[in-house]
Amino acid sequence: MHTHEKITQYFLGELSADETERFEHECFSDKDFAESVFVVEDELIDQYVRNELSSQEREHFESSYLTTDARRTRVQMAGMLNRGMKSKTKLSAAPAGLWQRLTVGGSRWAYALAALILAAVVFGVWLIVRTPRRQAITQVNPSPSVPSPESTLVPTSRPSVVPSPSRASGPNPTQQVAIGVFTLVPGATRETNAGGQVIELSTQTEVIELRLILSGVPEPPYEIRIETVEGKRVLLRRGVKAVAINGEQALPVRAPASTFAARDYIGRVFDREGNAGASYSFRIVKRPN
Amino acid sequence: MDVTEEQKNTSSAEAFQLLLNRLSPDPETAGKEYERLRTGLMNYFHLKGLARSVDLADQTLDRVASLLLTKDVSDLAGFCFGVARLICMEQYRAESRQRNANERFAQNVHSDDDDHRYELMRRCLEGLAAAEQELLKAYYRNSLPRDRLSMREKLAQQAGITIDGLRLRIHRLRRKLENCLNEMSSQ
Repeated sequence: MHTHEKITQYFLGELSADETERFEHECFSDKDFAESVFVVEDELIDQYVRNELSSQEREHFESSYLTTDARRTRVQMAGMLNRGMKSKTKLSAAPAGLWQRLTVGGSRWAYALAALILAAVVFGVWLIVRTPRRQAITQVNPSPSVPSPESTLVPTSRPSVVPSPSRASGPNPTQQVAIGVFTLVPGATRETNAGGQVIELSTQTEVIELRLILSGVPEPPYEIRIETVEGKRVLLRRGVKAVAINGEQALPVRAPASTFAARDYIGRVFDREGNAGASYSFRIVKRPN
Repeated sequence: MDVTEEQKNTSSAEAFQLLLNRLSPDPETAGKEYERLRTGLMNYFHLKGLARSVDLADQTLDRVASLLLTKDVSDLAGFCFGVARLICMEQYRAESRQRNANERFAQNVHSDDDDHRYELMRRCLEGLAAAEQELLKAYYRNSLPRDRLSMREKLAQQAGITIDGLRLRIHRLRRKLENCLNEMSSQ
């Protein structure tokens, strides 16, 4: 009989080939065992979507478990269930959550609260967007021993992440925002480069600017979508214009650093017709200061 | 020589009968054994992270049945498991090809993908019985991690089952939702 731990190890790809085969055969021949395995699988997925796995378990889960479309669907489904069926991508459209819609039908207060939150978010984004125009974004580097976000990129083993040579600058003593600028090149996928491109974020970094080197999308303006590997969207920017950086066309997109948890993401660029262009696989790693 | 549809049907009926005979000479026992094998195969495909485990189980049994016409098989269950592994590899390859094709041609993944899936999920949930919806709602009610277990134990108590029984019930509901989602996505 396999323990809970053994079952977890199976899903995290931590069993040997022999053990794996025995495990799978037992699942095939013993219905009760199979059901207990699936219960543990559900719990593991729930822990993943609630961010309750250790970083190592999370990494194993993503590389060993999230390998098929059906499993990604299970994770998405668990995400919805654990969030009380709130659609995170359209908070304003589904403020009360599905449970409430199915049973009570929603309340005016919930809508009013969602509108307030939305207004606050819009105001926050506006603040971030207008700041560079006033040349007030600077890199806060509190101590010489703490490298800037740019210098924390993994330069050799992950060659597809390259530090940007330029940075918004212009110190302003009245308003200082730590901004990390990272350049992403297309092409590296999780399949070809496990883990994708790595971006290390210091806890000091408040705003991230991603510069997506443009490739294969002919018609501006562009739309940028950034999603987790399970397909949960974390960022959507429409009408993005390309800028020239070191002789290359890049799409800059800024967001509060808090938008990104420490995990894997895929960025995609679409043209004005909605045709997808390059995709950008990257991993955010939070570095404690 | 072309094989006609009629010949194919005769052959598959013959193969199916042969499979049942191999399972047991008694038709009732053979039927039960067939269902047991089918459940095992469904569980295997679900474990391997494949959608449509029922279809794949049937596909495996069809293939096993036709192979029995030409092969001498001593361990039928083991043979089924081997064929299932083969089919699993085929599915992985097909899925990988599909994923690569999607990447290469960069099809216009509709921007409302999340909303679409959310809508499908909502419809699947609505398809559950009211008591099932309530159970899921209660099970996934927001709670702090430290309170979650006691909340669920209480829920199990109210339902008159053990906590493991409750988890199994939730798993069956999730599987029902997953099957519904797969069905709706393919329509």
